[in-house]
Amino acid sequence: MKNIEVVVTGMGLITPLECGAGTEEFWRLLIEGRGAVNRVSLFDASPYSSDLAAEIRGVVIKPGRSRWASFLETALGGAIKDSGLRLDEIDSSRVGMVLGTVLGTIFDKEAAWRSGSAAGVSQGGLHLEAVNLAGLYGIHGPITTVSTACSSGTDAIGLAYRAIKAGHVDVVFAGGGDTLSEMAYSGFSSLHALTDTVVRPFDATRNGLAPSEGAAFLVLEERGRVEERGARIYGVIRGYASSADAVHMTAPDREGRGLTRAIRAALKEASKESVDYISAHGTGTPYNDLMETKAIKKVFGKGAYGLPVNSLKAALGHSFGAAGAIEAAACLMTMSTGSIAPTLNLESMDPECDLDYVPDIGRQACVKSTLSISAGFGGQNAAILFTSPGS
Amino acid sequence: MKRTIWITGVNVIDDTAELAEASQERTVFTEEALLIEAASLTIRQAARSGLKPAALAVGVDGVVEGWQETFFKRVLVDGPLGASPLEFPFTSPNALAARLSIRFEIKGESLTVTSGSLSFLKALVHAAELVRGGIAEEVLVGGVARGKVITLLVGSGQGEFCLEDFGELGGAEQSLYSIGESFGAFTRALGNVRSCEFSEQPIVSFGDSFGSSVYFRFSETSL
Repeated sequence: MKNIEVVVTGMGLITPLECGAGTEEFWRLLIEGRGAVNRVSLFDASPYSSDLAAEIRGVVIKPGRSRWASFLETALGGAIKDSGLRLDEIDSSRVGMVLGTVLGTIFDKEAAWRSGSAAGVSQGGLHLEAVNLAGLYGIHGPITTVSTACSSGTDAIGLAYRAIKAGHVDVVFAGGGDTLSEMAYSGFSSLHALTDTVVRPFDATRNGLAPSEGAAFLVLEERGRVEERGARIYGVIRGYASSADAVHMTAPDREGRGLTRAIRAALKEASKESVDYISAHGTGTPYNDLMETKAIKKVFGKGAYGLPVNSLKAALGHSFGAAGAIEAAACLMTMSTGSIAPTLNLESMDPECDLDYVPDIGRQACVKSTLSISAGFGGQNAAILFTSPGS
Repeated sequence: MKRTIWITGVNVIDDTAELAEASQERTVFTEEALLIEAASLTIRQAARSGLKPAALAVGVDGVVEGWQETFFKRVLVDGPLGASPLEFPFTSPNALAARLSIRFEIKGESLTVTSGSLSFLKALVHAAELVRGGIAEEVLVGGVARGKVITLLVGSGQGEFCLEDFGELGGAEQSLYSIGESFGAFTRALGNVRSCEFSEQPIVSFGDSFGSSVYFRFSETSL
C-alpha cells in the first residue's frame, strides 16, 4: 500500500442517549454516566422474555423516509458539517461512501407486514438508502453497502480506510446504522440473549443485552489534503483487520481466537504492540464478554491488566450495525477530551473478567492510541486502531 | 512488485432439483445449500492446484429479505414461539458467508457486500484487493441470488484466468438489473476471453441503475 495517512475530520451520530442533539451532548451524557435503556414503546414486547431496549425518542421522521434513513441522514449530515468539507469544492468522483448495516429498513418493513400492505417493502433496500444519501450530498465516487452483523460499522470504517490508503479515493463517509425491530427482538429472545434486568458488561451476574438503535458516520480523508485546508483532525487510523471464527452461527469462539487474530493483525499493521485504551464490544452476554477478555489477555499479556477497557452498551444498548461506528466516534472523543467513559452497572466482578473495565465512574487519562473491537453473529470479528493526530 | 491475480474454479448452480439429490449437507434454506455445493466444487477444483481459501467475500441481494419476511410473519402468527433460533441467524445478510466459513474452516477476513445488482462483482473487486494488498493469498468469492449462486477463487497462486486490472467507476458497458444477471454477464465475459482473437484483452465493465460501476480486464492463462 502507498504511504498515505488516513485521518478522521468529522463525526456525526444519533443514539438513544442524546437523540440526535450532537456529538458533544452525546459525550457529555456518556461521561456523566447516563444510560438510555428503558421499556420498549415501539412495539408490544410483553410476550417476550424482556421488555427492555434503548430507543431514540422524539425523533422526527420526514414524510416518505424510513426510520433508518432518518437516522443515517442525521448522522451523515452531522459528520459532513463537523468536517467543514465543502463538497462543491472537491472532485465528487473522488468521494465515496461505505455504509454498514444488518437489517436496514426492517422497522418500516415490519409495519408493512403487520398491516398486510406491500407499501414500504422494497427489495434491495439496504443499498438504496446509501444511494439516496449519496445523491442527497452529491457523492459520485464508489458507494458500497456491507453487512457483517454487529461488526458492520467497524468494517465499513476499515474498508473506507483501505480505499483511501490504496489511493482509490480522497474522501470517504463511513459508518453504520440500524433500527430497533421486533424481528431482532424476537430472535434474541429465542436465543435467551436479552437481559430482563440491566445490561451489565463484564459483571459476574450479566445475563444479556438490550437491543438498541442509532447511526454514526465518520469523515475519512487523506491527511495531506486536510492539512492544506487547515481542518481539525480527530485522529489517525493506523490499522484495521477482520477475521472469522468459523465456529458457530450465533455463539463466539469461547476462547476468543478469531478476535485475537483480528486485534493482532490491526496492531501489526499499525506497527504497535499496545494501546492506551480499548473500546470493547461488551454486549453484556456471558459468552461475548468472557471471550473478549480472553482475547485481550492473549494479545497484551500482563499489560492487559493495566489497560482501561470499557463497554458503552450498558448506557446505549446494542445498536447492531451502528455500534462499531458509534464506538469508533467514542474512541476519537476519548483521545480528544482525555476522558474515558465508564462501564455502567458493573458491580460484582467476574473472577474470569478481571481487567480494568472503568466501572461506573469515568476517568481522566492521557490517551494517544485506542483500539475499537467488534464481534458479531456468524463469528465476525473486527479491530480498528486510532492514534491522536500528533502521535 | 505488482502481484499477479488469478481466477479459478468458477461454478454457477441453479438446479435445485439436482442438488437435492446430490447434497448431503444439513441446511435451512435452498440458497444456502446451493452456495455450499458450489463452494465445494470450487474448493475441490482449487485443491488440485494446491490452493486453499483463507478469506471470504460474498455478495448477496434479494434473498435475505424473503427469509426475514418468513421469519417475522411466523412471529406475528405464533408470537415468541414462532421465532426459530435456527432461522434467526439467516435474517442477517452475513449468514451465508458465516456458513461457508464454518463449513470450510475459513478463518481470515469475511465480508458480505449488499450493494444491489453489483454485490457479487463488488465482492470480487474486494477479494482482488485483499490479494493485491497481501492480506490474503486466496479468497473464496460467492454471489447469491434467489435460486442461483456463483462461486470462484481469486488468488495469487495460479488459475484459469489472469485478472490484469480491476476497480470501481469508469463507466459501464453493460447495465445489470439484478445480481442473478451479473453471474451470467460475468461468465460470458470470461468465455469471451477464451474466444478473443486480440492480444490485448479489452476492459469489460458493468453498472447498476444508480450510476455505480465496476470494471475488469482478464486474460487467459496457458493452464
